[in-house]
Amino acid sequence: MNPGSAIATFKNPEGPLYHGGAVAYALLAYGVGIAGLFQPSWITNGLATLLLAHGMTIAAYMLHECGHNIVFAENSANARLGRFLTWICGASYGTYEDIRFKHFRHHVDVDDVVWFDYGRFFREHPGVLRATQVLEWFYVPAHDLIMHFIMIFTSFVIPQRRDQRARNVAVILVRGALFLTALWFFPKAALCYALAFMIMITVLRFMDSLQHDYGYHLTLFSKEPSPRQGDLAFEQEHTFSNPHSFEDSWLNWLTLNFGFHNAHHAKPITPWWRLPALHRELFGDDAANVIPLSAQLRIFHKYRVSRVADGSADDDGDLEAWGRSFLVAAREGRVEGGNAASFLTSF
Amino acid sequence: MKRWQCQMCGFIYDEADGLPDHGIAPGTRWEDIPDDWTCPDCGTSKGQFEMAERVA
Repeated sequence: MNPGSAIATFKNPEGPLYHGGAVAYALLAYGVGIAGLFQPSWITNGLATLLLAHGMTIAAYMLHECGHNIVFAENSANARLGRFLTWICGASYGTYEDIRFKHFRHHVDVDDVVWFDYGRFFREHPGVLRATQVLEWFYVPAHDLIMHFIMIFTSFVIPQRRDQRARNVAVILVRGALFLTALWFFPKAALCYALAFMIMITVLRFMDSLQHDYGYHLTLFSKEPSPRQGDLAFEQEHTFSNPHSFEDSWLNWLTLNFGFHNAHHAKPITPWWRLPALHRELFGDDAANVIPLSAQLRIFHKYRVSRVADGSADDDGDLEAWGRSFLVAAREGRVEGGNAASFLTSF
Repeated sequence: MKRWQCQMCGFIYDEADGLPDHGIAPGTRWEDIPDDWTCPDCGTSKGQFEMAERVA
């Protein structure tokens, strides 16, 4: 192998810097963060927890880049990196292919396409709903932890994925043994890891929460084409961007520019560092076209309990009236947003 | 011959290779692929492809 061959495998000329840099940062933050959890100092533990959480978050967004085959020229190389990153961000119980499948159904069907009807689940289990709401009041991402719990036992819960049981059990044993060993011998480190994971989940769902105004539909395994398929105008009308800042672009690097969601949906194979420029090219420089961070924070705080029970399958709300008016309401902090839409959840 | 890239998932259709597993023979030009054909990787429509490279 010549020295340039590894670089040549990146899909974009800037890939070694931006994609390579993001993966290197994610792995470094993960490694240093894990090591920091085992230190005696509580301050070090706290800083390490934050670093670990951010490393996992960047790994998750790089997994998203791999899913769109943006990182490497060869799609098989994207898949290899993507599978590896599922281990970093705690999404390795199911398969990388299932994560991609659901994510592309979201893009192609212009819908939140799911298998698990959490609205019905909460209605049938009011005690679980109440416990989830109490935990959410304390900012514990309980709703998404339920989704993650299902993800852990994916092949035992989802009939269409029964053939993954051997792999699923192997992953549970490996990850479970590591976590329980840490919990037994280094309980502080294990709890800090769990906290870092919850911070990652919180960041991911904070970003997802307002990016679309349509509801979810139980059509993940349906062969019927979505009525919205290919409706690019509808897709843009009901997709919203929520960059952390419109002026200080570096702030958006904290989540690899995932807030420029209209640009991502307009051209999904655009690498993360080009999304701000694509947004300005397509939608202009008007900050009124995005949901500001201050409004997101207000919504995140104010509706953290009520949004848990807000969802119901096949309920799109008043989509005719939403779109632009949803954006206006979101900018004023008057919409609840949603949970459980992370691309790490493959059902 | 040309290569066409899905703007959704990055899948490449290479006219030289075709997609024999999907009934498209090697050498099949992009314009000869039916309009209702969908990306074998992500399922999006033919209209979501753009020419990525002119090979020869």
